[in-house]
Amino acid sequence: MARVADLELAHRAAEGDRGAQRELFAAQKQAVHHTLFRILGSCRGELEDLVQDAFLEIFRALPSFRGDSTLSRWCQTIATRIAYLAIARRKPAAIDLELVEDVIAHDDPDAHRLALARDAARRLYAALDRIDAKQRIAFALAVIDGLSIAEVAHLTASTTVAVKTRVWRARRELVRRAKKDPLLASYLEELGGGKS
Amino acid sequence: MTEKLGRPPIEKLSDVAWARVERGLWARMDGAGTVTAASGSRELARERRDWKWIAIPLAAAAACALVMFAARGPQAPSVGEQEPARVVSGASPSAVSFGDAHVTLDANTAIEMDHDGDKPVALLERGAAWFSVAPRGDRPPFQVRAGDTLVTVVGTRFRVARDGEHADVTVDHGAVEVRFRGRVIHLVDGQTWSSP
Repeated sequence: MARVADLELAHRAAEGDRGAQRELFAAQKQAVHHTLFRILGSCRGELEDLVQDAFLEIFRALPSFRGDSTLSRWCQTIATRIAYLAIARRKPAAIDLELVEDVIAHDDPDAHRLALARDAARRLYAALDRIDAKQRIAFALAVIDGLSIAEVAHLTASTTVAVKTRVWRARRELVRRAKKDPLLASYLEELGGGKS
Repeated sequence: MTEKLGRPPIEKLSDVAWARVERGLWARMDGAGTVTAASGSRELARERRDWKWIAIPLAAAAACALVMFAARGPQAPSVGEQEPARVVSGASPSAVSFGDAHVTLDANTAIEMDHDGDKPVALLERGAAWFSVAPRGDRPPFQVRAGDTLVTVVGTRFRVARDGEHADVTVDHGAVEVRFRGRVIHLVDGQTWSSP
């Protein structure tokens, strides 16, 4: 039933119905943003442009949507492709961990944990910036986001064997890079990325 | 690290950021013409290149116009308080009046002057600017938004700088209230605040 509704919405949006396009945008914007953020991390203003790019591509490709997967999963597939293109365009970024210290309320343990999590995430994405794009995407979706290997294979149009290999290689490279960073090493272990 | 940090937190886009994404998306959709399945990524890339050929001369022309206006006399060009307007500075700093607020833009800065209900709001898209705001009296306060950072002022001189979602606020004289993701920070003469 949901697939029928997806197909009907996709058809109207593809016909240029702005109301349907707005409806599709409202329904899928969080999924698209979630996928981009998981792969790319916090990249500030760039993420807004990439969300726009992803939806432009989604609207362009809508006539090819056949309902083989849910509309949400289909949009995430396109978001994954946009993230891949963004990584390919990027120049290696300088690590600026010291420039973005969080303000911590000393008497609030949740705030402290959140700040620590953000710091660990920044280190993780800084390390991810330095590995192969396909490995990064596989690791981000499978390990950080917790999707199954089959789901990642679907999103990246790859085989499960290829995804497993990419995750394994990414994990090995991240562990190597975390040798001098105890916070990152321990975070990788917590996420399940610390064992090779 | 003994405590569990969980998956990296997804930094949600603010309502203003989503509004900006949606506005930009529809503008690009309207400029892109008919949606077709075959267009794909190449057209997306071509559209970006085409856009640059138009945008760069336009931005340069806008910057020149601002500088010429500024050079003609002590009065900076004025933006009506009731009409939304976008101001972009080029390679040199520029000045503009927004109602009775005087705004000095650093080079390469973009600001959209708009209203939130009856409150004048300057949306700092990128760059940095000094704002000199005459005492508002009984009128609604003047606001500057830079990503998730909202600065509210009743009469003062202050500076807001933005780099993606990161913002710095500096108060020269007077007092401002800064709101950031549920936190409220009060700044007075000489104080500076930076978002995490």
